[in-house]
Parts: sequence; structure tokens; C-alpha cells
Amino acid sequence: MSREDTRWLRVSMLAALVLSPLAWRRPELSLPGERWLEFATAIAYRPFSVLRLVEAQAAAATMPVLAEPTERGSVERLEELLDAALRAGHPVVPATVLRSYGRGGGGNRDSLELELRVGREEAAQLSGRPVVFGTSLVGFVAAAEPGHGDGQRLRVELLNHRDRKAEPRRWIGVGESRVAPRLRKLELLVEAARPEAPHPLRVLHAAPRQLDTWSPDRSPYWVRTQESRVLHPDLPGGLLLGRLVDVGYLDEGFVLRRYIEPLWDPRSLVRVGILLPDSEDRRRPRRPGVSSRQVLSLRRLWVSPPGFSYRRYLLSGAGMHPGAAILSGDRCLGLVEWARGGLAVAEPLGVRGQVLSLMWMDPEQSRIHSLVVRGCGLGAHGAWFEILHPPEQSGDLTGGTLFSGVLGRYFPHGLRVGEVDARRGRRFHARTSGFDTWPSRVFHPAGEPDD
Amino acid sequence: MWFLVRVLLLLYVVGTEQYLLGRVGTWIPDSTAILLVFCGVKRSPKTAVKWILPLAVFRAFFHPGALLFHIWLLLVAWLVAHTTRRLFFAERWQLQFLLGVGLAWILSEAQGLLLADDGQDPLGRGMLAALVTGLVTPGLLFCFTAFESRVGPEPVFVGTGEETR
Repeated sequence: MSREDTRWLRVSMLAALVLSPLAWRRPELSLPGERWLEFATAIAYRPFSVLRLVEAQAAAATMPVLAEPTERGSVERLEELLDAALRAGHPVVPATVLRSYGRGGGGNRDSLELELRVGREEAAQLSGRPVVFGTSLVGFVAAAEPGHGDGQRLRVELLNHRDRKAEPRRWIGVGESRVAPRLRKLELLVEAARPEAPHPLRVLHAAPRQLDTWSPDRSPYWVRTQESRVLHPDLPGGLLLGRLVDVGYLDEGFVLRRYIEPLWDPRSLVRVGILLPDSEDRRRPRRPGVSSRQVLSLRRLWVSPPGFSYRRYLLSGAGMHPGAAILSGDRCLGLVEWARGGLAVAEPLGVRGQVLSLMWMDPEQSRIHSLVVRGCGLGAHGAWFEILHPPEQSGDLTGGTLFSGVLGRYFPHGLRVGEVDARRGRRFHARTSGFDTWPSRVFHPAGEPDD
Repeated sequence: MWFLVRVLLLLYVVGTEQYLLGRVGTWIPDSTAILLVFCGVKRSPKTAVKWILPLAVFRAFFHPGALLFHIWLLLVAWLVAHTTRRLFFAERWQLQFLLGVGLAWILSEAQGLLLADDGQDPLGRGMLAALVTGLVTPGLLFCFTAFESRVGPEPVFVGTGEETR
């Protein structure tokens, strides 16, 4: 073997060695320029797609159309249940969540972007108002940024949001045993924990300091806000902060630190309410459901072979974004994995590794659950999902209908995803709308001018 | 230019394999394993790496798993073939058969282990596909070599200087 061959062999061995941990732990992790390589592959494999791209870029093809409503009844019922979940005993402004994201560092989601658009004055009025989901306190309306113009979207800083430049927000709370409410209550001073902490909120002071809140006959303790004229004069009492989590030598009756774990997950929030002072009572008109949403047309260029636990579609069209929903009527078929220059690869819902926010509605259409799930691959006639949130979800979901939750600006809530037909532990199987081969013409939500 | 044409051919081979997997059956031979045996047995490490990179891009487009994962998988499989060549007689069809079976099995198992929750190869391949791959590998390797010697650029003879003395 020549010296050059030896060098290449050594480099290859070294590369294989270095890539091993990454390939084992994160086989789905893509490089920054990788999507362009896949785009070039798509063009080389389907050269005629270039003509389709030209067509799609033409103005006539990019005119948004209205999605045809097919099952308006269940979607309308879902919207009613979402609104009903906001009743916190105070006047609220309902607002649909567009996306949850991290602003404060550490990779944690600590902010929400709402669909609600307000003027400069109204933004200033609403700034700092508490935001709730049911009786849970979720966060506070963020202050309008200096360049905030009229018609900008509102932003919510979640409870775990920490501003590096400002003092952290603190709340006074009361912990009460869920199983024995007559037991002594725990008084708490709470603030957002650091991003590296195991739970979003931490307890600064507790009185009595060593009160047993972890014994099986006392746990769990739920913490609710208490009115305080000094710390938070606008925050009403009785709003749920979360469940108390104790860390320490609990067997010996000694607690070192206490944290609070909220009962909601930022990814599972679909609609929240902005609390108004009790003197005000105004309800904003809800925006129309997805059935009248503007959508853009896409053409299917290629589909991977059916019958396997993954599937890919090569689509062409204008205005596609990664993470956008693929629709047919008001049914959600899948989501865009990557999009470049008018081409996109989309996958059905439920392929392995996808993290989705879904809403489950019972067969009687009387209640909904927000779920965060991870796709486990396609099954015989649908997809398997694993429930990530809520952690204690144990009820039987079989027979219920799944709707999309919130997954970014281009993945609206309320799209029909499928029906649950089997459950195995924390996993369930759903007959998903996008399992069968997609029609040759599908749609995706059109963005708004400033999106 | 020749390299680009052959890379394009490779893309269509991988694409056709995908098409046949869904329509004919999962016993279709694994073109990736065959190419890796060819690179491991007949080609230098530099040429092998030159083929592995575009093949990894195509696999990242057609299969689950990202580019880095496929580069790693192909490098590992190729290193197995290359090391085996140095230990045995690479021209023997029995060795080429065993390498074809082995690499197809390694690729299938690694994909099942790392890309699927149930441990099954996402492409549905099993031992039958590995055996079929092994069976066709020696014949295809012979065809590749013949094709390359007739169609490829003329080899340039570089003398040692001894013959001019």
C-alpha cells in the first residue's frame, strides 16, 4: 500500500471513530449545508421538477385558496372546549398560541408568541398582565419592544423566563397537600430557576422550612399564588404555579432544596387567556378556525416506497417552510422536513423522532387533553406515538380523535390528525390521516405578510 | 466528467432500488453493500472515500438518518471490507460472497438498531436480502471491473526509470 493510501486509510478510521458517538446518539442530526445537498440530489433525481418549480413560482400558482371545510362540527366543538378551558374566574382576553420558543438561553422554552395583534397603546396596557391556562398561571405579557409598531403580535414570558439584565420575578405562594388539604400549609417565596436547574421554578424561602411535603400520605403538594400588595399587586391569588418537588435527604426528613414543576408544558399550550382587572370584561372575537384558512397548493413529485416505518414525499410549490403542516381539506397529512428553493421533503405524522403537540378529544366530544408526543414510526395502518407530556397521563385514549396542537407559525392548531385505536403503556397507535399515499395535490398554510 | 456521470448513475441505482423495494420485495440486493465490497476489494482508500461521500448524500435523501450518520455507517462497513481484503485473497468469489452477506447484514442491523424503535431495519431488509446480496456480489464485481477497464479513461503507465537504461 502506498503512503497516500495509508494516509487516506488513517483519515477514514479517525473519521469513523470521531463520528461514532454522534451517529449512535443523534443519527438524525443534520449539518448546516446538508439540505442544499439534498436539494441538489432532488433536482438530479427528478430533473423535470425544475419545470414544476418555474410553474410554482408563477403568480397564478401562488395565489392562496381557501381550504375546503369537511368536518366543521368536530373542529367547532374543539374550539368551544379550548375557550371553555380558559375560565379562571376572572375576565380574560383569549389568545391563540402561534409557537413556543427559548429566548433566555439554556435551550429551554421560556416564551410564547401569540396570534393576537395589538396597537402600541394596547400593548402598553397589556404589558405585564398575567397569562393563564385554566387556573394555571403560565406567564406574563412581555413589555413591548422599543420598535413595536401597530399591529404587532403579543409575546408572553413564561414563568421560567429569566432576564439577565433585570431582577427575577418573584411570587408568594401557598403549598397545599392534594391528598390531605387539612394538613399544615407551606408558605413559599418562588422565582424562576436557572436554565441548568432540573425544574423551571425554585423556592427561595419556605415556612416552615422543613415541613414534610414528600411522605406518600401527604404528597403531592400543589402551589398556588397568594395575593401580595408589595410583590405583585396585579396578580390574583389562587392561580396554580405547579407541583412541589423536594430534593434532599428525604428518608432522614431533611430537605435541601425545593422546586416547583408547572403542570403544563410550553409545547402543549394552544390557547391562553390574558387576565384583565376584575373591573374590565371584554372578550375579543375568536379568529376563524382552520377551515377558512388560506392555503397554497403543492404538487407531489416523488414518494418513497409504501409499507415501511418511514415515508418521504418530495413536493414542489412556493412559500414552503420547514415545520409547515401539509393539509388536505382540514386534515393534517404531515409536516415539511426541509424546504429549499421551491422543493420540500415532507414526512407523515408519526415517523420516528418527530415531536408533536396534539390535542385529544374524547368520543363524546366533551373534554380535551393537550399532549406532547414523539413519533415512534409508522405501523400497519397508522402511526405509533409515545406520550412525553403529561407525565402521569394514564387514561384510556382509545376511540378519541386527535387534532393538531401548536407547532410553529405554519402549523396551525385544530387540524384533524386521526383516531386513536390502540394503547400500549405510554404508547398509542392512531389511524392517521396522512398514512395512505397523499393525493397528487396537497396544501400548506399561507404565511402572513410579516411572517 | 466521468466521475460525475458515474455518480449520477449511482443516484439512479439507489433510487431504482428504493422503487423496487416497495414494489417487488425486501429481498432486493443492497446496492450500497455491493458498492462497498467493490471499493473495499478493488479500489484504493482514496477512491473509496470519493464514492462513499456521494453515496451518503443519496442515502440521506432516500433513507431515514442524516448525512453524518450515513457517512459513519458507510465508513465502518467499508473499513470491514478493506481490512478483510488485506487478510484474505480478495479475488476469491467465496470471500466476495461472504463480504456481500456481511456488509448487507451490518448495514441492515445498524439501521435497525440506531434508526428504529423496534430494532427492525426501516427498509424491511432481513437475512434473505443479505444472502441475495452475497449471491450477486461476485458476478457484479466482475462486470464492474470489465466495464471500468473498457469504458473508463486509459490507464497511464508510469515507468520506474529502469526500462530506459
